[in-house]
Amino acid sequence: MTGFSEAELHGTAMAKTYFALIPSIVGEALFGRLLAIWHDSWIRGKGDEPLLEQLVTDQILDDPDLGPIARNVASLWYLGMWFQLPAEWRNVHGAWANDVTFVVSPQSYTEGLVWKAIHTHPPAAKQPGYGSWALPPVTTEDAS
Amino acid sequence: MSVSQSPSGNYDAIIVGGGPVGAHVAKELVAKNKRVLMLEAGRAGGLTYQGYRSYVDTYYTRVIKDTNSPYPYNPSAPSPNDTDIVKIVKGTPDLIGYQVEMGPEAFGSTYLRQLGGTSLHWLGTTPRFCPNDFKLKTKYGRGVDWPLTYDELEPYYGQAEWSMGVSANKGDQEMHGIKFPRGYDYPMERIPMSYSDQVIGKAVKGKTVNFSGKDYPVQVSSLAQARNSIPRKGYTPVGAVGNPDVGQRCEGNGACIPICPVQAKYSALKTIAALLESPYFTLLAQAVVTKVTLGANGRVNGVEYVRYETEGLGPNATFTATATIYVLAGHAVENAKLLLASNVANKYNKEVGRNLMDHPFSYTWALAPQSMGSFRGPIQTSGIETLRDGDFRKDFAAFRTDVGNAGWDIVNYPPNGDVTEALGKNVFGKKLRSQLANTLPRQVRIGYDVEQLPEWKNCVEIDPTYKDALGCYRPIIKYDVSDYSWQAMVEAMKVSKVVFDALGIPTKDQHFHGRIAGVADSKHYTSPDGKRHPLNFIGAGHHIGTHRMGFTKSDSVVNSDQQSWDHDNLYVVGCGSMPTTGTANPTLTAVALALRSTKAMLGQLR
Repeated sequence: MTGFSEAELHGTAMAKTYFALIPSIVGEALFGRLLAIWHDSWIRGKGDEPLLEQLVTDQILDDPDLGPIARNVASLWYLGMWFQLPAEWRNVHGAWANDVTFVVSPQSYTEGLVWKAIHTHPPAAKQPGYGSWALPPVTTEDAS
Repeated sequence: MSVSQSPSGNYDAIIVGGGPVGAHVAKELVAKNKRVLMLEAGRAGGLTYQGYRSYVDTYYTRVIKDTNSPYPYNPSAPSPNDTDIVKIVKGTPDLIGYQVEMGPEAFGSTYLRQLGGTSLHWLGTTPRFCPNDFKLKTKYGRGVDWPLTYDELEPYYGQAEWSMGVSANKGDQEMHGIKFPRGYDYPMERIPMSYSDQVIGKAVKGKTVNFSGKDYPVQVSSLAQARNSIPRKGYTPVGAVGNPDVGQRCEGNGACIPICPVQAKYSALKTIAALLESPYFTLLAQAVVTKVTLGANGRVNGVEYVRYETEGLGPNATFTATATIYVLAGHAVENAKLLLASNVANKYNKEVGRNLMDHPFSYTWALAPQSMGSFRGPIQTSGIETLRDGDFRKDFAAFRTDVGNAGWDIVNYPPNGDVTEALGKNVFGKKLRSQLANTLPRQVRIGYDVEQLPEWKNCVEIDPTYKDALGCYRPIIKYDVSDYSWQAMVEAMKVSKVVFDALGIPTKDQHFHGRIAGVADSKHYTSPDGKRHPLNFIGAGHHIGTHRMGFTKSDSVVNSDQQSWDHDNLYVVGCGSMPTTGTANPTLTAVALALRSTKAMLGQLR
């Protein structure tokens, strides 16, 4: 879902926080369903990237109940942020009290994977050191 | 000495406002054993290392990481925020937030009322003004002249650069007649230019733009910056308050605005923390000065201030403090507000609050074909400084060109939008990761700090209808931008066109129209690529004017010593004293002016 390895996700030390947070915003039933379908897709698509992508798109992202939650799960990993769910979703499932746009914690911001994805660091944290910015950037080719 | 509860005894000077300008006045007076009381309206935030770090944590958790986002909202001493700025509907004031905006243009600049002032969130860019900026009227027939020259201010520029800790190489700064005395150099070596600065610099080598029939080079050069670098002989970098080993060098945190997490960037907290060691210095925070009072002889005989115990709640108590001289260093808008509320400094004219200026900031952006290494290093390390002066100033304003290091930063606040947009299109997993990796580091953003002329109608006013929680006036802003500046924005876009073409950026990836949230498209257009792009701008955070200095008591609020024409023991200091904006970020010049003014103050205190 994120394009990062299990080790990279664990490396953020945010997994437990997010795992507890999501059902507290959308309820355990929907979160459980999302996990079950994700697990099913993952088993069926294992080793077959295009199939996995198709399954996730069809069964999760295009699902009006699960799609918005799944996108928010990715936002958590990438940005450390929860975005308020779309109005259409709330028409059906109601607006939960803590379904607001927010940054989960100082750590969730500094552990956002987007910075790693673009070969830099979160502003105001994990500083690269004096003069590092004058050197040619790391590119995707270098990194892989 | 200490952060005391109530001031006692007689002070030589009372300084209203604990920003960089007030701090430097205090530093000079205390050095001569004068007793100084500093009254700061905001909280004494950041005086301990852990306290400062709490602002960094706040920044991490803010959804909108705007200029004042790390600093808690304080209803007892409110500050204007970026998110308060909305499109002004004719005839309807914008009442959101602290500032009341009457238009016709939105005044999109912010400042911070907290110990350290706006130097907590400033970028730290410290160019000097050009000599011709001091004589705009004589040289180009525009605006007004200053009652002092570059040469008169020059020694104080040097003093300010050494006090604040500016990193630059003299040779990079010698242009437009900016000269340094023999043997002088900046206290620290220049901050390394970013990779993207170097790529752009190489690409535009030898390129020019034609303004008013004359060719000017488009040339990228290093900016003078008040952030720590490698010290030259005789200078020791000043690190974080309460933890001086931290922040000895800029570490590339990339968050200069709104907060440098290691305090490698100068803030007035550094100067004030050092002053607190002196028995001659007393700081009183959470003390909002509401009135300057006069004696029968027309001299200032005290300041009234409200002390709040709890932000937004009180209890509040009113006190009076007295001294021999009084120095208002509360920011251009706050100084004007206080003078107006006190009904002082207006015997000879009605200049108080007038001639409010900024550097209207217009920007362009593009997607380079290759990685520029964006989102690395201080937000800005270089500029195109070649258009800060020239004969074209007879026709339109000069400008500083800022070459950003943080991608499309103010354009669309990456990377949040890029991530959510991709997810909305069902891009996820490895595709999401590589899409971000292959676009964001290619983002280029070039902006223009445009000179603005003094105009009577652009002003700060007060009205009893608009008051804050403490009962103090909220500033009312009336603001417009004249064709002199608009035309500069039209012309400036030619520079972007030169840069973007030199980088080999396809036309479809070049953008000249910044649609800014809350800002209306203007009737002005630019067409550097043959198409019509409506122009608009945001504020640069450079509040200038409002209590300008001048040659006579009829044309200005203060003289060249920033001393009130009306009340000889009242000084009104800071960017508000500047008669014109030039193109330089103004803090360094404000500090230099303040240092110069302390000679007159000390003369009076002898």
